[in-house]
Amino acid sequence: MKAASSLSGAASALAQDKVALVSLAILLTLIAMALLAPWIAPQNPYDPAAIDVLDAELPPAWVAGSDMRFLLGTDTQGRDLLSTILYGLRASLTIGLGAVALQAMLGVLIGTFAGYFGGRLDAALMRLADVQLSFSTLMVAIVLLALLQGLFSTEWYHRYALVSLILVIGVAEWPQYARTVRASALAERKKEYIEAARVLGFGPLRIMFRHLLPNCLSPILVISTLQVANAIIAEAALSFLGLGMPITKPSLGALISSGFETLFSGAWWISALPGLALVLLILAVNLLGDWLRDTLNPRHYRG
Amino acid sequence: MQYGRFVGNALRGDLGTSYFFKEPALDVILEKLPATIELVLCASVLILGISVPCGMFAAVRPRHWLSRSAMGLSILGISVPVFLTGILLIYLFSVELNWLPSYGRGLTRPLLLGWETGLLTADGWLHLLLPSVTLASIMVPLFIRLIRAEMLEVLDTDFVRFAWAKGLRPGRIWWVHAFRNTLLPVITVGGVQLGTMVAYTILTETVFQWPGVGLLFLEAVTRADTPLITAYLLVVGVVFVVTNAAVDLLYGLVNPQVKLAQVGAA
Amino acid sequence: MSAPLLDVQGLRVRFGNTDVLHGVDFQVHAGERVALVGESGAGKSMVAFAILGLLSAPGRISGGQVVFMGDDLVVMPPKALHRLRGRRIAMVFQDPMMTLNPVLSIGTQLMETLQHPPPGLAKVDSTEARQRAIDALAQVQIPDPQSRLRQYPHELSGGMRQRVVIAMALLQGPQLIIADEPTTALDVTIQADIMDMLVGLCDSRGMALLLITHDLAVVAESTQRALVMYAGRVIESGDTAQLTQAPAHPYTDALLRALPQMAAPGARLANIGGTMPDPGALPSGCAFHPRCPHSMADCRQRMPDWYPSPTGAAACHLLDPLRADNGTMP
Repeated sequence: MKAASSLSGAASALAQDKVALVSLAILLTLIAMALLAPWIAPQNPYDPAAIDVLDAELPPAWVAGSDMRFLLGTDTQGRDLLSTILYGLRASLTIGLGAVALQAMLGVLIGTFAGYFGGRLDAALMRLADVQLSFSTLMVAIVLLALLQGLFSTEWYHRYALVSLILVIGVAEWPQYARTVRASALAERKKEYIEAARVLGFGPLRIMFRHLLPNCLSPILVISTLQVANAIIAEAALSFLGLGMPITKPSLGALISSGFETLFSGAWWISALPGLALVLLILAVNLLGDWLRDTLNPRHYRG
Repeated sequence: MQYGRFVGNALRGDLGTSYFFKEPALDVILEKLPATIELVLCASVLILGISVPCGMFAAVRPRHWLSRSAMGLSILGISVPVFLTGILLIYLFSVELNWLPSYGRGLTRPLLLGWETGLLTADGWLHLLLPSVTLASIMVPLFIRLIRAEMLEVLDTDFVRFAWAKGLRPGRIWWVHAFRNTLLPVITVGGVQLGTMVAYTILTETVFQWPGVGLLFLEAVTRADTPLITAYLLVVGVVFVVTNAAVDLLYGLVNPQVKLAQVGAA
Repeated sequence: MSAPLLDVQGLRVRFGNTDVLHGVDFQVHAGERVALVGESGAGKSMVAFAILGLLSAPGRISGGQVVFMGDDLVVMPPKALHRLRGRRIAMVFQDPMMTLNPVLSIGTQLMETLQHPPPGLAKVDSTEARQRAIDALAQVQIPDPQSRLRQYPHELSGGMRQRVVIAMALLQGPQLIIADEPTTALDVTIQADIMDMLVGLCDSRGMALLLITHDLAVVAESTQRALVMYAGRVIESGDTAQLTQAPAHPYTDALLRALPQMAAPGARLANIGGTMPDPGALPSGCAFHPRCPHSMADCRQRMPDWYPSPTGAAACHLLDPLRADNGTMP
């Protein structure tokens, strides 16, 4: 199956699937909102000068006691919730996409090397993949972040939270990619055109990336979509536990966590609205990922 | 040098003293372990009790509206982070309706060897309800999808068709012929998911302030209580090894092609 | 002649939007052994699964009747049809490696048919079920049947497994056994043993056998009547002995020439050129014409009618008595 043709086939099938189409629309809207946050947000939630603590915990506009300046109300710090959600979306998406890009890079690299060279290197790398997979990503991330938090000052930790999260979530799940890429590299390396490329004197790197990689594009795309959802959930969980983004630069998870404390005093919106945004984001990615898998993988069952 | 001494001590069951509790770290952990085990057990019962019938039904009657809704709900289920489910349940049943407690284990009674159980009091069960539903909520959709996919594959095999051709009672075909074979991959994946379950207990226990080892671990992290963190990780590692051995054993019991000697060696 | 045990009339099967059986007619009388012959893809197995109502997912019966002991199985309620399975009509599948459930013991899989019937039918208690299972294993010549009950499929050889499968088919005393390529997956050396045993059992118990196979040699040795199928249609039918001696249809002839046993010593084995057409893209006229050595203009244009032949009947333009050059098939 040629990757390019199956991808364009998927594009035309997309128009016929309403759920997938709506998911894509929601996802694109959320991404656009995150990208444009600095321009469309009513307030810069990272700017302490713009925030007044006296505005804290104001309800959304449609609830009694609201302030019309804040459409979705304010959070515990007195920040405009809409702006904070937009910036939080930005953080969650950055970490999710960044972590998956890292996973994919590691996985594709290790997978092609293992598949192309085979032998002992292959055996060792795949054994490593098994070991890595037997650890729960979230558990490894919790332990690593706990370690980082213990080793460095709070200030340092807060400054590099974004990068730490990307690294910690990104190093874990490469075997998902490595296995797929390895399998197709193993299958392809015996084929004539690879032989021919080798005879022509092309180096192994060039052969791998020019010839092997295009053949695994569609599985990589499917894995990536589902992995983005997982990475976003992992980030939200870590931030909820206080191991992720600081409250001064909250991701959606950190925002939900800060709102949890005020839940009992009736300020439900601080948790609920970022929660809704988070679920919408993950659901859209998951639905799209499921649909992609069903469309690109001919052997499947439809419910 | 220091590491060598630690390993030596650890082998004797001494994992150091918790900075915060001023007690042997292992004792602190073991004291909190029953709470976590009860939570995980209760959640596991829910997970199996819901996902097995739902997953099987969705495979046997893929076009039935119940199957379609189960599959739709399951994708929603895996898209809601476990802590958010917890928060939602607390808001609904504790804050708004005021029906169920939102934190702690409630009344506990001593059971055996210092095991304090909440399973003997009505109050304990009420406290257990929301946390176990929360913990189950993340695994149920995963297992429904897994069981359905594996079951669909098994239903398409020759031996299931042959079972139909033999004229067996349909229940026998689904539960004995198809389900026993579906179980094999489900047991394998279930074993892998155990590690994830540990991480989810940390989240669930944090939301509900459930006094188990997960909450203890997170508190130890914020207090930089290194001996306690180490002790927790070691205990989790031991639990992991033991449960994986149990999973292998279970696999051998279901699959006659695996000799028990092989299981023992694995 | 009494009413046939099984009377299949105009049976059509459709997979999604593609017709795979285009009206199949044949009868099997009580105690009779009938073969359904053809290459893979001819639709033979489809007939078997359609009779039992066990077509898989996109496949369904789109027309015709399957009258068994006076009842049409096509319109019968699914529960009533299921009660006939194994009890009146039993089936032996092609590959014994795949037919037996790997996680259940032989004994369990034998006895369960007696102990776990569909609702409304009498159960047999475990002592009797066990005894009948042992008897059935003994009948298919499995040594030491008692100890076999505890064994699992993977502990038995392919031949042994197929014997077990046949024992399962016999267990409830069916009137008809449908055997779908029962020896194809087996070692050549034991194929004849299994086939002889199956024929012997049918004879001694007065069971009818519908044998589905691609192998005309097996047909010649074990059946009384044969039907040859090509691309979803029966194209020749008749007495087995005559049909395998002097076939009327060029396709049957070609099948026969492809057999090593039938070729004259030293002669080259004839291959049938080309392949079975895809059900979605059948050639015009007679579906066999692109591969037929006697293909004429008529063959491309219209479906042949049925004509009587020395062996029975066949659907081929060559047999048309009104043709100038009729009946001169070399």
